[in-house]
Amino acid sequence: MAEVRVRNLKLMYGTAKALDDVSLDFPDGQFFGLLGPSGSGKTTLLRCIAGFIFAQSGSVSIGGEAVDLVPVEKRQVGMMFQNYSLFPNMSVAENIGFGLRVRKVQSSEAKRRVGEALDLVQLSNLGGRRPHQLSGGQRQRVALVRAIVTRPRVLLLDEPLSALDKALRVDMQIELKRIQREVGITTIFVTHDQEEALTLSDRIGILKDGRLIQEGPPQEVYHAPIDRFTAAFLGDANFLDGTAEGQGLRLGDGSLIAWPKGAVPRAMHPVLAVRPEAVAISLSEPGASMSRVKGHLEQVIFAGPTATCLVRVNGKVFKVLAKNQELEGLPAAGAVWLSWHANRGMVLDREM
Amino acid sequence: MMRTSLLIGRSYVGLVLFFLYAPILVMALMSFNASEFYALPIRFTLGWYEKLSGNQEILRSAWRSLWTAMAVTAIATLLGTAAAIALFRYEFPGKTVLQAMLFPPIAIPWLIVGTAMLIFFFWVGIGRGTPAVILGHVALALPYVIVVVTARLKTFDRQLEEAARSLGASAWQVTRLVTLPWISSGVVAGALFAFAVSFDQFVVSYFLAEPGDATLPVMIYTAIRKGFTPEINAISTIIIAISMAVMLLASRHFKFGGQR
Repeated sequence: MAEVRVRNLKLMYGTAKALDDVSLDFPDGQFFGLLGPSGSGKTTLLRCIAGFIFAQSGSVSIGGEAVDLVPVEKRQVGMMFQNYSLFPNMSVAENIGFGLRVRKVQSSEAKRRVGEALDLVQLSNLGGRRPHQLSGGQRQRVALVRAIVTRPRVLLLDEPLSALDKALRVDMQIELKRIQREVGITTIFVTHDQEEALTLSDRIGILKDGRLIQEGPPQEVYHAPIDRFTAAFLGDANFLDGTAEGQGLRLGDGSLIAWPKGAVPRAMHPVLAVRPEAVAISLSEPGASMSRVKGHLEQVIFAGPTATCLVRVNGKVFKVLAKNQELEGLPAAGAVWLSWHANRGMVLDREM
Repeated sequence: MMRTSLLIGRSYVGLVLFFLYAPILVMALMSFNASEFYALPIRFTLGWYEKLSGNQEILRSAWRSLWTAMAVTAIATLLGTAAAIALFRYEFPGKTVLQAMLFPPIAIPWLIVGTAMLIFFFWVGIGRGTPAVILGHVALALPYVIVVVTARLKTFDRQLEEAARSLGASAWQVTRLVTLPWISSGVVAGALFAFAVSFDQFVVSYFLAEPGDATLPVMIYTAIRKGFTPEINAISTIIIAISMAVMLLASRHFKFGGQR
């Protein structure tokens, strides 16, 4: 187990910046989610840590040791690939034992560890099968234990769940988290699925265009996004534009929205963001202690336990996520009030 | 309507097969015919094969052909497979040109290739003889091996190599334990091609072999010029049997773009 540090990694593909001065710490034993849209550099970063790609400048260290000149096979990393990459010419047990075999681990010891690995994922009776005889979820598990049976210092996961269907995916998320906790291995996980990242990670990092935008525990990044991109990428967000005043944000229609407690915006035109689930919708005017705006309800999209209401506020569409009982008595369309606790507002200082 | 077109199709295939195999069949039959002058009806005999087994000159050249072909197969398969893997794994300047240049030698007439090799080998001091024959055959066989192995590699998922490396396998272990098992059928097919190219080779061998140590096809050609005997039919029948067996094996191992 080890901590992974990345310092000032830069990598250009022609004129495109794949990694633009990325520095990041992956704490020992934690589950770290790297999140970003495609082309954001998250997979490139993972492959730099694995040693498949060498950055043009900057450094990677694992457990305090610089590994910039160490090839993949000597880095002691375990990697799990998107399509599992199980060796088709080997049985399940041989696949899992591959890393031990090439490291010349004694065969009795190797056999014992392969057995333990199979137990860990409850596949003990399938050791003799070929990969093509397994289901997607089983292949997944084999790929996972194959990557950790060699006791690597870091486990790298490249969108490992994206090939599974939704129900199986949730099961595998739980399993992945369980095994990671049990083994206690530093894990770096690449995904474009924000929900998955929030569910699994102890910390997450958001990447965009090769740059690290924000990094921290999921709750922190979710509730205090640094900019409009992060706010919109991680979950959903409504944005209010205006002019900064001492007390709050002066909107185009003249109303004032109070700053959340402790927030001191530095930008001239900061953006205030509110999550759809933080907003309440009502016919009557909410109390003055609440942040509030007037709007026109245009559409209610039913989704089982909740519904999304689309409300036009100052010409822009505002999304409100409401429980069904909150909608009782509301017309299908018409004038409504939207309100939220001032502290649920998020000031996005760094605006581009 | 359907019946007619089916009939035409079948007759066409029949004609093609007849055109391909009739001369071979006649030759094979005549090798079992007692009459030296191909008189009909055929009177069955194994006499020509018996006579062949006493013909030291033919046997020597047959033996020489066989071990030349085996040496060529070993060298060309090793080099060709290594080249195909390198072309698959690495990007380097001039790779596209190199790959494109693999094909023309297959299309250049052997007469020209043979002449060019003879001139070249004399120029560099190798001259004629067995080393020249082996070198020449390897050069002819190499493109076949590379093309066949490359085709097989196209179906290989290179992420398997990455997975193996991340598990601690050295480049050689990756090749031996992951890549080669996947392409083995292609390597076998390439080897059989190389064997066939060398064993059946006449023109280049004719140019490069010393008069005293002719390979079998060269020997047969020389023998025919002196006078045609059913003995030649016998040895030719044996060669064809071997070559066809090799090619059948090759096609079993390597699906030529279609299903087995």
